[in-house]
Amino acid sequence: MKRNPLRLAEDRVLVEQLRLVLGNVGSSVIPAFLAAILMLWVLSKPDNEVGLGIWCAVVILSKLGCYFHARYHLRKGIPFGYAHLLVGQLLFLNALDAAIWSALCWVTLDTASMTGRSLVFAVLTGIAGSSMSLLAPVLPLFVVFIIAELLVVVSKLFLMGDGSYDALGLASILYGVTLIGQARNSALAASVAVVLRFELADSHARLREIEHRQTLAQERQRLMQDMHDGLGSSLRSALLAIEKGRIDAFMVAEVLKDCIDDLKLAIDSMEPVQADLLLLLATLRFRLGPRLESAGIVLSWEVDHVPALDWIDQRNALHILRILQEAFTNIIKHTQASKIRVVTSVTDVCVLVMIIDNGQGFSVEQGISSAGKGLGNQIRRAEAIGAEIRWESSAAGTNLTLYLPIKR
Amino acid sequence: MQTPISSFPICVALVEDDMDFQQVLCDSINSASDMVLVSVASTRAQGLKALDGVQADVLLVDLGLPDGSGIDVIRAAHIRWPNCSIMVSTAFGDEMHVMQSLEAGAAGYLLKDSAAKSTVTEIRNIHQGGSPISPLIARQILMRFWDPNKPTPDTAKLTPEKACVVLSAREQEVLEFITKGFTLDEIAGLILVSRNTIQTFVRRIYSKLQVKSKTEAIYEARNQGLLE
Repeated sequence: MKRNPLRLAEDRVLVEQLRLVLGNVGSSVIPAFLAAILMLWVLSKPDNEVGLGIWCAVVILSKLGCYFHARYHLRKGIPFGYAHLLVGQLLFLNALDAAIWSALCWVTLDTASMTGRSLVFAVLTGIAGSSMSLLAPVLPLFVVFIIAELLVVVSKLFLMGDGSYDALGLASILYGVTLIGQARNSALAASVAVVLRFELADSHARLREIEHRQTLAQERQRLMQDMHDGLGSSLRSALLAIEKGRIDAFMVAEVLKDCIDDLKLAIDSMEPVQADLLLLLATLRFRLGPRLESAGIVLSWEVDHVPALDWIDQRNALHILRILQEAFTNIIKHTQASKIRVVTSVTDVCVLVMIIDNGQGFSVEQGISSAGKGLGNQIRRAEAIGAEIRWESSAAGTNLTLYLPIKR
Repeated sequence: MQTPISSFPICVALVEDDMDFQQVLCDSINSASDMVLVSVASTRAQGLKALDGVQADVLLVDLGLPDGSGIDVIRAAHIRWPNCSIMVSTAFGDEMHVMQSLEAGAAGYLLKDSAAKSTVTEIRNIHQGGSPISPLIARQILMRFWDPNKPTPDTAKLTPEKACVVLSAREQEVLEFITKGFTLDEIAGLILVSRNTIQTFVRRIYSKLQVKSKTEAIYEARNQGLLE
């Protein structure tokens, strides 16, 4: 990754880097105040009192300016198009801030004691170091800061006209260069972190998108299959019968009612039932109840608490609904029953749903082996959800039991 | 239920854009001796305008109108005609449409494939305070009112907007029975109250749902205002 370390990153990354820098500004305000007031207190002498006072006020104002500028932009948010302009503003503010700090040399160096001078340099060194950690996410900001600071400090040192100050000036320049090297490293680390974060977010978004598409595809597949087996085949056979003139208006109405019931259950199955088998049975009763009533069949609802079946998702819910719907339609159409009992019970491994009618019964072997899709369809659907279905039928009625596993 | 208690006829207003269904409704209402059709609209605009006219006892609204949503009509009617029972007509009675209508102020719904005879029964029923409720709707309402931290007096103090509408223990019990598939008659037998009482429970649950969604909307809006 060889590139000009001073070049600004792409807008999206730059905005994050700027947010890091702006976020850092707040933490530097109080130390800066303390440093400035400390200087004022320690170094104040009758002959530099005014100058030092002004300096202290200007430092505090400058820092406050930086702070409110940062806070304003953090609150408002940084639009991509604005990032470069903001960098410009920050370059100016930081150059100014650096110049103001280092003006301390010009104010105090001539009059201060040896200790005082050491203190001045300790503070300026500290400010340079803390600015590095503050501004490192956007390297040019720190470069401008350190250059401005060095210019003001070193120019004063050389003007002192003393060999040891010249040496100190050179040492300052060396220190500045070292700091820039350091800042470059931490800038790299910061930008890698920001870029990685974006890449991670991007790949998460991509994964979610793929997942979403898969869910949609599965849902489409599920509904297609259901329409093909249910609605589609009912409509096709009705159409065929009408074309051959073998069906009257009453029978057409019956077929259409079946189709509408089919549709309603398909729509209900799109609502998440959250493993609640009784809710599923309730929905079925709510939808088919009117049909049973108009057929003169009394429904006895004998359900009791059953454990949650975690494997019931939308696809499995529709299978269960269709198996039981078929059971009810078979009873209405073929058995002349007057009473249906719906009973649930629980064993160690299964939840049982029993549909017991008092109709005329039928031969189970024949029902399963015959070409008609009725019982075969129910068996196929039960297998698809890992359940089992059994019939016991006699002249006194039929008992259908659906065995639903508790764990799958 | 066939003979109306009141000697005044039930005034019915319609907002329905499906011409066939509108015709079926008009015919069955006109042939019922205890009902009078006061207005028929087929668009949202007409429906809103009809609210300026004679107040109806029962208003039937379709949601998908050519010039907008029937929800707007429901919301307006709920304010303009506070004593009117609003019924939404829907093809499938699916959870999403019904919940939306209930939250806007509807008290029930009519399935478009119901037989003409049961249509007038449903209108009479809602006029007398009965409201249909499906297991999926009952579950949805239970979830809307479900509070992870049970409303202790403390939390009630903290969020007055949210805590003021809660289901009573009885209402919750009724909803739970409905999600298990029991009919209102069966529930009345199970908890030893009259069928009428159960009906008023359902109505009250619906109006709580409506109040809740309204206060939540205000609460949301206020929150948004703070964030902006």
